[in-house]
This record gives sequence, C-alpha cells and structure tokens, in this order.
Amino acid sequence: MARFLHATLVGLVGAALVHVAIVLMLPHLSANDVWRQIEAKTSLYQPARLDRNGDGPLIAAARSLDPMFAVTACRYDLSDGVFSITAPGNGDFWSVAVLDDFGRIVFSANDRIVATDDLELVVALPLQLRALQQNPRADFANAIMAEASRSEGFVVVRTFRPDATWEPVAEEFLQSVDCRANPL
Amino acid sequence: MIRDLITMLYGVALALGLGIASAVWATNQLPLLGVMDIDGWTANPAIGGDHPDPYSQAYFSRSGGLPLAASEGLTFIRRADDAGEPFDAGCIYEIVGETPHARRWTLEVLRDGFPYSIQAPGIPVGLYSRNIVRFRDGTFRIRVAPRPQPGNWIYAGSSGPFALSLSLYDTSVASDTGLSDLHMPKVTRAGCIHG
Repeated sequence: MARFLHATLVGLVGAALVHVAIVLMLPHLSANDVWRQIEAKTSLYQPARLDRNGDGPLIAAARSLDPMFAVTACRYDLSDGVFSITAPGNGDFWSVAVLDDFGRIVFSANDRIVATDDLELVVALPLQLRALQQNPRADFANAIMAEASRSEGFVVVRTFRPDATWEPVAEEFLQSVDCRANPL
Repeated sequence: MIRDLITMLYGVALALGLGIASAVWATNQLPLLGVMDIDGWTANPAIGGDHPDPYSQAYFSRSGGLPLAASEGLTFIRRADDAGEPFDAGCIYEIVGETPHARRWTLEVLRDGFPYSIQAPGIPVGLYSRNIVRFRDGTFRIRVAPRPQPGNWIYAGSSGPFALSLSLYDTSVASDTGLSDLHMPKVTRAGCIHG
C-alpha cells in the first residue's frame, strides 16, 4: 500500500512536470501558429492582405479576425538591416502591431501616437537601435522606433473597413504600405 | 521485482497521462486567470501585452489566432444573457446601454467561435459605433433577432447557439484604474419565436 501511495505521489509530481514542459514548449513546436502561417504564405517585405475581404483568406487565422477591419502583414528579417514600414495616413483609425517569430506581440501603436497622420514605424534590434541613436538618419526623423529582441517577425496593420463601400479607401491605404530593409 | 516494475509503470503512466491531458485541456481555451468581467462581458487584457502568460501564448500557438494588441483594442465576448441563459438564435435579445470609452467599436455575431459570415447582402451580422441609431443621451438599443427589427438589428442565424463579440478599438479599459465605473450594455431576452 505504501509503495502504491509513493508511486501515485511520484506520478502526480511527474504529471505537473510534464504539464509545464508541454505548455512551455508549445510555442516552439507548434506548426499551426500565426508566424508559421505567415512565413509559409508571404514573402519577405511583401505586404500581404490577411482578412477575408481581400483576395480570399490567405491564412487560417483570417477566420478569427474582425471582418470589419482590413488587415495587412509584412514579414521582416532584421539581419538584412533595420526594418521600416511606411504608409500615408488615411485620415481614419489605423493600428499597427509588431509580432516576433513566436507570435508574441512586441510593440503596438495606433494613429494617435504619431504627430502627423502617416504611419512610419522602424523595427530594430537593440544594437541596431543604438547605432541609429548615435547616427540618426534623416529619413527616420519622424518614425516610431520599436525594439525587437528577435530578428525575425512581422508587422500587422489594421484599418477600418466595415463594409464593401469602404473597400477603395482600405485598398488605397494598403496599396501604399511600403516595407523595406534599411542596411545600416 | 515484477511488483516494482508494475509500480514504476503505474507512476510513469500516471505522470504522462495526467500531464498530457491537463496540458491539452489548459491550452484548449484562453486561461481563466486574468479574465476581465464587466457586466457579464469577458475579455483577456493580458493577451495584448508584450509579456503574455505561458498559457495564453500556448493557446495562440495551438489555435493560430492573431489577437488584438494592447494599443489596438480589446475584444469582449458574451455567450449568455443577463439571466445566465445561453444565447439561442431563435430568440430575440435586446442589447441596451452604452460601452466604455473607445474611438470605435464593432459588435459582431460569433458562430462556432468565429465571426458569422453570410453571403446575403443587406443582412447585418455586425454593427459598429457609427452606423447605429442612438437615443438622445447617447445610449443605444440593438436587437438580435431572426427577423428584421425596427431600430438597430443584427441577424444571428435562424436557430442554434451563438455568441456576441464587442471589440473596443483604441480604448483605455484595460489600463483603467478603477476610478470611474465601467459599464457595458445589458443583454436581456425579449422573447422567443419558437415559444
């Protein structure tokens, strides 16, 4: 009996360890997370429309997105240089989120953070950011700086598109999104 | 010797079985910890932050969703009316009141956990803050019903369970200090078509 109790106790402790190990390992092992979907379906620095109102849902995650928003993603690799995404403002609400290759949100902002209405966001590694601070670049003078700890990731831009009549506005904004690597 | 082996196998089987089952269960839904509940509408503000808890992160790794970040907005979900009865699309519900401050909000019908999409044009499955009729004091009344309704109307299907999602964009709800009372609209059942 004592032996059985002992084995149960060991089993329960083991179960807790297995539980924690699985939960912590899932982001590294999952083949279905949003980063893997983006990585498989989009090319680097090519803006791609994600929401279901675009050219058809590009990724499985599109089903869960708010259908009243147009969503564009741009994938980057900071080993090519500092990433910048720019778009002229559309006079309406837009929001931007930076996610890393674990699908974790690194940075987010909306149109109220910028002085002008334009979207200008720079994503850089800590060392690149320091280099930028020491040698400021004129073309990043008005840009928002976001620091990422991992070199791969993607940026998601959302604009309001409640119905089909808003499509030209959303499409014009998303067409003007410019993603590029800026070698330092 | 054999008894030792059996005891050991039992312990290992218990560890693996219980560990895997509990991990699968815990990552199959958003964590119940950290849930924000305002008048029956629930949201997980932590998922939009830059340091999500391991369970939220594991959930999104498994489900592959793309949540709203903290400065983008916050989505509230509701599956039952104020009396605690789960939503049934065969019934008429009234959503009355106001939302916390936000630049814009969208109210949508979820079926099977995803925003409802129907091909019929002109049938609203969602509304947003600027295309509704309001009372003089800024509050609103939205009816969810299988048949068209006067005022604001959303269609949630002809029958079966559904949920409502209210996404607040550019809102400070998640960082609220508790100094002001937050209110979400009340949801009451006004009647059922099938008795």
